[in-house]
Amino acid sequence: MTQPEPSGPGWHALAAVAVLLFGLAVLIAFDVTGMAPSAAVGVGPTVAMKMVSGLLVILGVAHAVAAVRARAAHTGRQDHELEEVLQNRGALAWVLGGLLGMIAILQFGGGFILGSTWLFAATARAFGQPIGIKSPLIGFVLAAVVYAFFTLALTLTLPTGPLERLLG
Amino acid sequence: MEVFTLLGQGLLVAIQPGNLLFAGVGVLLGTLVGILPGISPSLTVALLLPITFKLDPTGSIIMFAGIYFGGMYGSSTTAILLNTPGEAASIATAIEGHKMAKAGRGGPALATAAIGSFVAGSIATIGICVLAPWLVEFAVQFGPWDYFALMVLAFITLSATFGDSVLRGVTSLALGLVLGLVGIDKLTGQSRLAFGVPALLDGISITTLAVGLFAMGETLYIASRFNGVQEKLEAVRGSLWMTKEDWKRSWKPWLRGIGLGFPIGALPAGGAEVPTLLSYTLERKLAVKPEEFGHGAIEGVAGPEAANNAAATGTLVPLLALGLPTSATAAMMLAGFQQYGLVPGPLLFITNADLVWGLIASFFVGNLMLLVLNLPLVGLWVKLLKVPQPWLYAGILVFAVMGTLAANPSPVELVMLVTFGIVGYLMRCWDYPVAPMIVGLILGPMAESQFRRALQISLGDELVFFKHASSATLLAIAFIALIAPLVFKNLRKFKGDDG
Repeated sequence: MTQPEPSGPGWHALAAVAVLLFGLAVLIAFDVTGMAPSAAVGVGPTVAMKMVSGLLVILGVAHAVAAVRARAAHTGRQDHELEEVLQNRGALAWVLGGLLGMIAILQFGGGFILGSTWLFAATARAFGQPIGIKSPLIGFVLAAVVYAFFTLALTLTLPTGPLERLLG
Repeated sequence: MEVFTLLGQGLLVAIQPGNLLFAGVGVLLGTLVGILPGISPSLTVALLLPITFKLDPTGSIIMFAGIYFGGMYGSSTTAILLNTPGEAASIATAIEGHKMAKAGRGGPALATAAIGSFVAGSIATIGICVLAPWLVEFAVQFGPWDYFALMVLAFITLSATFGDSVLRGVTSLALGLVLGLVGIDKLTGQSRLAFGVPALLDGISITTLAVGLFAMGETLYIASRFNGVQEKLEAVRGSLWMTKEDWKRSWKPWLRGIGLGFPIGALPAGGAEVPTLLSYTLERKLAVKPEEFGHGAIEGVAGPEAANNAAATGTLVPLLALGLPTSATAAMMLAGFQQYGLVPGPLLFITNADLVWGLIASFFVGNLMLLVLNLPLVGLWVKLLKVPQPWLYAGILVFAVMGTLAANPSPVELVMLVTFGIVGYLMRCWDYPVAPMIVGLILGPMAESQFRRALQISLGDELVFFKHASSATLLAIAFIALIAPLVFKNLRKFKGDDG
């Protein structure tokens, strides 16, 4: 891995992943210390945790080394790593906003249909469809049909809100 | 032949009208979802898993098989008409298939893909019939150390050997292993990495991870690269049917594709990507008209498609006989099995023989149905490809959220889904493979329990894995598989050349 591959992560990304891996390893180690010693015969539940955190440390070191090398190879050159990840951030924000909005709507008892309508319209907005009448309408019909099919035909439970109570 | 008696009984199960219906619905739904651009067969299975929640095990597993084959077919249709392969295994198809579609030969390209998939699926199913019982007999004698070594081998081949980068592949696997640790330890009842969150005690759901990584990650990625231009769809012009010459040029590539695909798929090496690319390379070398390659040679569609389907069917051999998933899709299938409390492996052949043979027989039925339903319906499927991107991805997200909610209606689950989506997005940006993570999540806990059982039987002797010739050999192969790509960097290059 002496040559940074064009498609692979740049040094910032490698360093970030290294930090993440070390962080996870520490998290697991922290959890292991909090666990009561197992009285059972044989291997306790902590052995696998130690093995995995060991693997994480090895991978973290490998990432750190790769990051240092990639950085050395990159000196003096302009990099656009952050721009790569946050390309078109408006669209990303709309998709994530749609998802978080859906979670909030469900949390406040808005129900599946309302939440899905918002999610649908926000995602469509991310792909260049303005939030007018069309996309909320399509989203609403889709959500209602999905809700009816899954709760009535398949007897699955989906979160209910005022609209769902009207339907059911 | 006892096997064929069993298969006959299985066929009787599979052609019961109810099960036939399940197979048909599965194929249709699988194609319907799989044909949407950017949706791979494993995501198709993940998205449609909740639909089968309330059905009886036999019916839903049969429906599952239909979804699987339908999803694969849909993926190749997208590759041919839109030049957007839904999965790595369709890349080879896209190269020649899209050129054929551009040259007005989309019909024959779709036909050779469908018929080739049917032939490959059928022959590979016979392969399962022959191979699986033999493997089961063999597997009954396996000790936990053998299983553990086999899983280590599957981990390595899947994450390190065939990927672009050993480091990134193993990292993805390790993240999956971490997620696999979360929850209550089955042997001692102690909670691990749950940090007092009740929703985490049951562990991380495979469906949530798969849908998050694939559906959310892909949507975020496409959104971030979205420039308002719809991909150009090639209309299916001219005859839908293959000419006599097409047939003559197709049947040998089909058979060669099967010869490459099935054994590689059946090995715990996993993936249909390698055999499809190998098949493409082979057909290019053997072609009567090599000048046509790169401009729409039918052999370049027929071979890889057959290899793809044969390999996918082949991965079911280790899945059914050993309970070992060797691809993301197989991991999703295993999740489906587990949902009904069924544990694939040698025991399943004894305890649920009906179900196993019914499933294997329904592969035949599913493949046949695919052929019967999809060739005439191609016009309808093409219309689906025209769904504008805003509606398409908005719909995908609604379905993804719905599936997660149906499986586990809790806000924590949705937060996890979104988190996995962001992780999936970053992995796409930085070129980390996502499949090892899913396999790590599902196979990690299984490997752990075999590991602990082995040490329990050996009374804590850590060298038990090296004292049995079989497990020592498997571990040695795993080690070589890990080291080989580091040593032979050129191994990577053949992929670059042809992909």
